[in-house]
Amino acid sequence: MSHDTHTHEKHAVSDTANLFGRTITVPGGMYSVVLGVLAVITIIEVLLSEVPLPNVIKFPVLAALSIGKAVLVVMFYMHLKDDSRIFIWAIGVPLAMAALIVLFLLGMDPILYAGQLNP
Amino acid sequence: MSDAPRVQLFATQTAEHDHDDGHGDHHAVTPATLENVKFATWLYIGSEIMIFSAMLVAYLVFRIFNWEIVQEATEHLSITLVSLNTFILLASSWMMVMGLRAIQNGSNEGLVRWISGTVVLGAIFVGLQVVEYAELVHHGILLTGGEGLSRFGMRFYAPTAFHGAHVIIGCLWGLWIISRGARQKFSAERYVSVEVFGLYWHFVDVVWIILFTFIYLI
Repeated sequence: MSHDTHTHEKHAVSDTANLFGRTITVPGGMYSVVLGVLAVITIIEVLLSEVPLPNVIKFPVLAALSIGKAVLVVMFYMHLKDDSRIFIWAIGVPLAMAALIVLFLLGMDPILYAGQLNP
Repeated sequence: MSDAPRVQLFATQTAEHDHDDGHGDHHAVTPATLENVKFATWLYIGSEIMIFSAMLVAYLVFRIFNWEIVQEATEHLSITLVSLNTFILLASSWMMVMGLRAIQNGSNEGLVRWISGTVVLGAIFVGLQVVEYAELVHHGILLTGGEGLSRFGMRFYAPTAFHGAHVIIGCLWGLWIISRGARQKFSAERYVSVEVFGLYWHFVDVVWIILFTFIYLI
């Protein structure tokens, strides 16, 4: 086979999706299922944000739902789950660094943010 | 051992070029070139993550120390409008991936149709963001100014408008993909540009998913 006739790896091109061991047929296959899940999670997020819950509960739940949605998009729409492992490193290292920096800055002593304080 | 595809970084096989060579560009891409381009795109996305993280943490730190200002400002944020915008961007991502699927099946017509939908939804997203900004400015939440709500405005507009700029760039990129698709420049063997555009567009969607929760909902 010459280089010019290379066939790329193709992702999820069928209209079937495997859900909890069952194969279902949906136009768009797994992509449409993921869209539905993203929409449902978004509705749950919006409803949850209106519920008068303590921030200590609401914050981590909403953050987890948001990160879950992001992971779904990255894995299924950006095909990271099927692609080379090195792509996971390419995105994982900066993501880990960013998370560390965010946690560090959020955990710093308030006195170091004197310029940010409300006068 | 993983059976995931392995990347041959910086390989030098003969590859297609992504320009018009006057003969139509129907040459396929070598596997190494495809993987290298995607790897470079992921690295670019990594650098974007750092930029957006800096903006997000600036907002969160401000929020922690200026709770009253943030509470007053967020009363003017329309969750309904922004939720609608979130659904629009999620749907645009779905259309994007359906466009990729169409060209993987060899349909330039399908690609053009789906990417057109992506671009239209992206444009609607930007339009609604402008509506939201106009409303916020009306309530005194400005980009400049060192007092009151404008202190919130600086931290709010930076990440959201920077994201909006990414959507605008994505729409322009999408138009370029559409014009090439309309001229049958892609095929089932040749769609690297579409895949890279897709990575960018989905990344923009992921950023909004995070911003929506941390700025509007929490």
